[in-house]
Amino acid sequence: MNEYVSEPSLNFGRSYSSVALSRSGFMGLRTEKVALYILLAVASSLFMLFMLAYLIRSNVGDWDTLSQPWNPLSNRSQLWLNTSMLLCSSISFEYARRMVKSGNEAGILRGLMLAGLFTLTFLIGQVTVWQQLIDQGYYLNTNPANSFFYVLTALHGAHLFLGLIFWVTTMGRAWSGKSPEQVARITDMCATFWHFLFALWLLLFFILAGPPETIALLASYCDII
Amino acid sequence: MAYADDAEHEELHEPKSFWTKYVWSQDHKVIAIQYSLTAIVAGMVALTLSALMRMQIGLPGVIDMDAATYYQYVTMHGMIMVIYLLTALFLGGFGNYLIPLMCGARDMVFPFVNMLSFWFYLLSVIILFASFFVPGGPSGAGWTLYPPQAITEGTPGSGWGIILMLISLAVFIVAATMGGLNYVTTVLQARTHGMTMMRLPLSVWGIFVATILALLAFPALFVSAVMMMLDKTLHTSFFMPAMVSLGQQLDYSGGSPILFQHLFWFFGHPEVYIVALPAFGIVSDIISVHARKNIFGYKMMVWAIVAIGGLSFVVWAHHMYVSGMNPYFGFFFATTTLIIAIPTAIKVYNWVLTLWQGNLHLTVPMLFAIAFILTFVVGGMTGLFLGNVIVDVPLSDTYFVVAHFHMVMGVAPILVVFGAIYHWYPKITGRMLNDTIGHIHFWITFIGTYLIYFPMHYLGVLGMPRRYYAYEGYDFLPESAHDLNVFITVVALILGTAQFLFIFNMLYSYFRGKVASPNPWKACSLEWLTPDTPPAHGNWGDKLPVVHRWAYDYSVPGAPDDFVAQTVSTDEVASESATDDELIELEGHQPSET
Repeated sequence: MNEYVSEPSLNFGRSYSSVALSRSGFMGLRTEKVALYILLAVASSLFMLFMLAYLIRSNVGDWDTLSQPWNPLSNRSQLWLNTSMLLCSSISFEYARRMVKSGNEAGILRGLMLAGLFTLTFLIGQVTVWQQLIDQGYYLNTNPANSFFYVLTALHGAHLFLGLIFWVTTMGRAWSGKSPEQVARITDMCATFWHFLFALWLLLFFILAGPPETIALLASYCDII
Repeated sequence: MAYADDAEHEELHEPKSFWTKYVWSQDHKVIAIQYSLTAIVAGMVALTLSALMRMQIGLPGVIDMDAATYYQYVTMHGMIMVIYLLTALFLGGFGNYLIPLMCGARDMVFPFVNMLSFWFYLLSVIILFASFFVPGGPSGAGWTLYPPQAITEGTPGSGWGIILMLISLAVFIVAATMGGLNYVTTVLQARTHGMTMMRLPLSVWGIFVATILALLAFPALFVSAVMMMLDKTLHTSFFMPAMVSLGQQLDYSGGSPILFQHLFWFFGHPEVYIVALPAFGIVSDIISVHARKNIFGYKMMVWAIVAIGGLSFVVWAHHMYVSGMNPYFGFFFATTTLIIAIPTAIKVYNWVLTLWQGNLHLTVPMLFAIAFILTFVVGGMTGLFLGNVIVDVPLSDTYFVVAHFHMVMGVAPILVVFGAIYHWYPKITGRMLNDTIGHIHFWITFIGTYLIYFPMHYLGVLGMPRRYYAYEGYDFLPESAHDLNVFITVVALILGTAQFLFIFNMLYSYFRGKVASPNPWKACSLEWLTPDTPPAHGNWGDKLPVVHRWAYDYSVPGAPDDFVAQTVSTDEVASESATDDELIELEGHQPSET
């Protein structure tokens, strides 16, 4: 039996590593996985409300969608590039997760390393987009569409950044070969988290820089102010 | 259950030093007490603010208060009571204490995160209270913090006050999310042998569903706080319209204050049920124990809690009837609001039917529980008035609304808080609260709140507007309204002072109270069956309890005692009981289909 699939006991608390985490509780899920799904539900609620606020606010006359032909995001090449980076990081985490299942230590390390690098590239790419906007005079408070763009990309980036904290600790463990169960479990959690954040990014990308007519149409359904 | 098997084999790590035991504690019971004491201190501050406000309204001139200070007190009173007292106390306090014990768990599933939750909560309280000491004082925007006035110069505390308020709320939301993650996951994952979801006491169900509401609704407050903060500090225009203030054109344009109201109330209405659902659950348990009778319609009670939780997300705009909205919207929200009356009424009927022909013990917790039912019905009835657009419009912004929400969201949950503390104090401390002081406290509180809030309905119908800091010189208010205001203030001051009886009782009984037996109320649920009182670290001995039945087997015919604890199997009861006929009655492992 390979050591990566041995049974977990998540050491979340110092005095109480012993609060045994059930493997077969709710829908047969591990406890930390249940907690992750709950967190994803909270994050979904947060972003959904932000996106609804975006659509509702866009009905006011001063709104100027960033993807209008005269605005910078009519050219989406940098955003597409960033999207592909995030897709790659998501795939790399999935690769690492599968390597965990087959017990391939080198594969796990390779997958994790790539996943982190792609994520960092994505974040740098996002900052590049910000820089481009600022260079062209599209500041946070110039137009509400800009405000939403900065806030939503920052919030999404902050989620990735939090994920990277777990990634760093896992990398350290995978590198030193210590506590393989921890590596296995956190890799699994990270993969799920990254898939979620990738799907979320697609949604954000669409709503922030999608075709202006489509966004206007969606917004018209949310015209409650 | 895998959890219980694992928990029995894992080693317990007893905290050794004073610091890890009482300060940086990861034990859910200590965290619960930390949460509760902080919340009670915050609540006492808010109570003092309300006393000062009542002085200003009823006895103007006795204290020197200007309009700005009055609005700051209104704001802080409302915010503290709703968020930092009630939400924190029900979820962080009772949730933390009761969930692991009632589920038969050793602790919350993530004790470290649970500890962080408390420290973030304490930080949020400190940040909020710091706003009393910054230039301009705390925010005076009203607890709903509506823009544009909340962040516009001229409103008290529109500088540092509102900034600290928003930061404090954001920190509180982080705390509530970390706590909530624990409560929900623990209920789902860490139940002991035999503890199915449909055997959980209703307290756990109420807190569980309320926590789910909190997890999904608080993001709306977070979103609005972030956007308002940016409007305030970086001059974005999420909520701020183009406007002229103090003769100056502000650099805002196009923002929508109504958008804020939608977001705020998308949080704000579920918030009502975040407070109410734990109260519903706790009251069900108290009534059942002290009436020595099983809760009537357990399954119906569970589904009513779930239904109320679901419906609470589609009623928010009934807080905005006068803000201006499409009439069809108003119709929709009025309809959904009135539909909530159905599951709520089911709960009230079931409580009454539980009491019906019960062996009522009018102990202090029971008195508070019965008082809750009465108060909740009164507050709920006026909710039916206000839920209708056409009745709400003239009553909106009058004292009728003040009376309504204080009855339903202030007094009713606080009565449950008192009842619950009297009920569980013996388990938490190992001593009984003083009964005589308890009775005096109950009667003053119960009668006092009615003397305060009943007249306010009348004042509201009379047209007395809310949010005014002084009522002299308005021709439409008769002299009798002023007399009534004086009366309300006098009662409020007496009532407020009487709460020190309760504080005294808690302190006195902690040291001098009668030593409590492990199960003084002869209750069935697991928290009363711990090997130690107060429960030790890890709650149970080597083995977790094994659950054989629901938590409500009181006065079962044929059983040797008038209650059968959740851990007692049918065989065990049978060996002690009288005849075969009566054994049929003892098969009551599962909630009945009533």
